Amino acid sequence: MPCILHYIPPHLVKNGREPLALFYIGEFLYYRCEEAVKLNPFDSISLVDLSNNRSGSQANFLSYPEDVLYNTNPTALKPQEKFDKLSIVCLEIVELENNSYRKEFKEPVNLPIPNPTNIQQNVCVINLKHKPIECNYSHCTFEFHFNTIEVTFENYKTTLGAKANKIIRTKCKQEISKMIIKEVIRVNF
Amino acid sequence: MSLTTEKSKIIGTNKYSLLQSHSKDVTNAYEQVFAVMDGSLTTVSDNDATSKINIAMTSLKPTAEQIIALNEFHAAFKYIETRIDPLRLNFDITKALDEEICINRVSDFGISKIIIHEDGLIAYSFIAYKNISKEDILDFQLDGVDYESLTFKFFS
Repeated sequence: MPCILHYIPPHLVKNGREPLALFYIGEFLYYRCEEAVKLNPFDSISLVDLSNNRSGSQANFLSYPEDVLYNTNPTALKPQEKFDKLSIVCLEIVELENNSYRKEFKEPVNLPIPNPTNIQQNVCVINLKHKPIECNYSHCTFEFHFNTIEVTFENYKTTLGAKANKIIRTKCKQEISKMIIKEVIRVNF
Repeated sequence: MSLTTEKSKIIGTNKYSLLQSHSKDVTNAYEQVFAVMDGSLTTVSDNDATSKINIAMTSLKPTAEQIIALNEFHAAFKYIETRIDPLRLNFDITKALDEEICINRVSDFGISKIIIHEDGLIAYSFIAYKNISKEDILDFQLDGVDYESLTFKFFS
């Protein structure tokens, strides 16, 4: 279904364009949030589908920073065209591997009875993906996979959000917090 | 000076930055505390660490394990209060999305955080600002907690 929101600028409309697999050093991601989140991202950061807009490269411009304030999913509760009161965090991509962002965290499985020979590990992978939507071609997300399962709002409490997985979850939150506080994205902080 | 005026002066200062917490109950709790303090700012100021921790105890709904940790930090903070520059004692307490109680401190170098998980596991985090050449830290206290050392590290 094509974008029917009249206030969306033409450069954001998908218009059948395919996603771009690669990201670029020097490219920016724009993230909208409350001003307080910039100062203390750990407390309110969501580890489910963390959405951003990508700027594109000099050769392939995709969006301006303020474009991230457009409401591409207006509802009865949030009917406004723009989230004017929110702030924009500009994250500069400074380090990638093969033009991709992929970060992996491992942690021994927390067994009910400690076992020194335990070699089972939980693995959480953070991936940055370009995922255009009809009213926002520049849309991209940090996806979280816990033991190969994509973390969603529905399964959060049984995957990354489970009490037993607090250490690996805290490592992920620390990673995202670093990005926001330092305003950069790198695979190896 | 009316209590209302006092409050309007208080909001927005660093000392009372707990009011800017994401936790919806905190502001109400603070107002209740002010209501029984006869409007005396000195009392609040003199007992800053105590006030903030008491408010966290009543408004952030900590688990039993988190209460134990907050009490330990309270004692450590009181001990350190007499030994370091009072300006360094600026902190706030918040509750994060996954029920962690967080003690936060902002300095010129970055953001320090003591994270108290639901089951009482404590982690210390430091994230330096962009142009500060200090190492970031995420340190889980898996083999027991030295609250005084952690407190010194937090305020250093």
